[in-house]
Amino acid sequence: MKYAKRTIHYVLLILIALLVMAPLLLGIWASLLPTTDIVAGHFNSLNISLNNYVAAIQTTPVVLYMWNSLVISSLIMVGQLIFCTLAAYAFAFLQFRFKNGIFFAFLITMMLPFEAQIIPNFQTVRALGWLDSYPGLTIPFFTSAFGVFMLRQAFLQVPRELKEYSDLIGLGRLQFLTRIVLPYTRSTIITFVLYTFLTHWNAYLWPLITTFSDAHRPTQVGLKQLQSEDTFNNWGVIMATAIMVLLPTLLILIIGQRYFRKGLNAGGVKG
Amino acid sequence: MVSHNETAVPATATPTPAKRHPWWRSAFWFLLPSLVIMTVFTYYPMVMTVFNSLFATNLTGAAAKFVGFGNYVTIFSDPLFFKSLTNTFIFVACDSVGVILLALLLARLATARIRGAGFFRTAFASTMGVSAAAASILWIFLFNPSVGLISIGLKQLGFGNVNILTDPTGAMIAVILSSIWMGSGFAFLNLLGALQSVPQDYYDVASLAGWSSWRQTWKITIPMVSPTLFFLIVVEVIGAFKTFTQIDLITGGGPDNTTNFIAYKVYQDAFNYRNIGIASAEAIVLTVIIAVATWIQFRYTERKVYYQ
Repeated sequence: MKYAKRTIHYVLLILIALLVMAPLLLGIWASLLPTTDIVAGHFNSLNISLNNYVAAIQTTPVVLYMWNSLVISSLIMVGQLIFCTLAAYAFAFLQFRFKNGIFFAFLITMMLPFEAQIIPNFQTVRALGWLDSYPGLTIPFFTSAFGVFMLRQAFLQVPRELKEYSDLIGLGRLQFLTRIVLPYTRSTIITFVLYTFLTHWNAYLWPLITTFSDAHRPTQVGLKQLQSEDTFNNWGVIMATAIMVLLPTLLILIIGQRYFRKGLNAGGVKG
Repeated sequence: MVSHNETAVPATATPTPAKRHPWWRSAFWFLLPSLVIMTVFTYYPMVMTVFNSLFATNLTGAAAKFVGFGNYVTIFSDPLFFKSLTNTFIFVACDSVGVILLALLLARLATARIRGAGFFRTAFASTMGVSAAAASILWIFLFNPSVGLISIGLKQLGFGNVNILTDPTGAMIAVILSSIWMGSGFAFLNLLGALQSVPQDYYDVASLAGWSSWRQTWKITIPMVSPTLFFLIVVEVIGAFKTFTQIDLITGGGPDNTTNFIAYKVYQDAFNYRNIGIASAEAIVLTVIIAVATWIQFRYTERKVYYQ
């Protein structure tokens, strides 16, 4: 009886896992098939090869797009790590006038959708001469209220004794931050860094309106570029580029899964 | 953990009394970088959007003539904006409910203590690692009238040659389906964490008392994870209101503006039609909706989130 129940559970799990992963698995499978087989509906074809990937790398700028995304996401990740850590440190450890007011001013930006700010931001970036450039794609995102909030919450859990100890041995504020606070809150920092990278690797709207050439265009908008080109009806190659674009984030998610589960949950429920 | 060895005490270090830092080392310098970025790229644009929404603007986007709430009157008497708003609400409701139900089902299945559970958890979470743009390409492929497996399947079920994306209802369903898929990984990971924090004893006792697993779900699981559920519903609703990528890639807002949801309409009016005043008014409507949802979330989760 118990055995039968377990078997049913497994069958259900496998069926639903297949269903959930179907779009991804089909995409991967199609990326390995020649387009002629896809168009003919021969999905059970066994003519699999990496030819579509070779074609994608040789005939499309997908590698350049991925390089751009890597540069942009990494710059934002480092920028946010520095800017958000500094602000979170002030909110967690320092006493100063208007602290609550300023903290509230940070938090309130979480209520304001970026979509409502794109028009003036576009004009600002244009005025600065940053359209279609790395600075325009990164600097506006060098801080985030969510990041400051998340790090502050983690910093508040650093025991008071450690602060007293660091004062006692004469550590300065930045030394206390880099030698004690950051290692102590390592798991939150990793979550934050992975999350920032993922978010900005996947960004779409801002690069869509501020990039006009392949030189700085990141992957997500690159996909639109490739898909909308008239001559581009080669399904095998389209799927190969899509898979190449999603692979890095998929790997980050699989490897960093436990961090996401822990870190994201801090916002929702306290176990 | 920090071991005391890592923060080695220099031999010459003398204990310093709590000192007053000079003004230039005050909190101001820690906050300055973030404050500068937020001022230039969040506060200023928000103020400008409000400002622009009160003006008729010329083609370069410069405010030309003060019209007060004229732009708001215009958009709310425009059937197209009304359609956009209505369809956005329909989409948000279907998407949020769909994501939560799917994630609940996945999380319930994946919490079972069986061999290989880790594999299934990764499988269920995988959609979170797929960007909206890449996911859109995967779904465009499925919906394609000649090669898409969904279209082929519908044909074999006797629906004939259907082009899902050129049919208004079909396009709406397509956008909802693909969006539920995209959102399920994130919701699943959150719910999984919450479900795992429910003590197993509760279920053991309930099983002894002869409760069905359906009853256990409703009487134990749902109440225990309700804070996470609430958090997720709000996050999903906010995210759904901002839906943009899959619209731009899968339907382009069509057919006949059926999937021209509010965030996409703001973009179109601003960057395709260069009507900054109207687009700004629409953006403010979107902001009000999002702000209310976020405020509800803050209010409710305040107790849970502030450790202090």
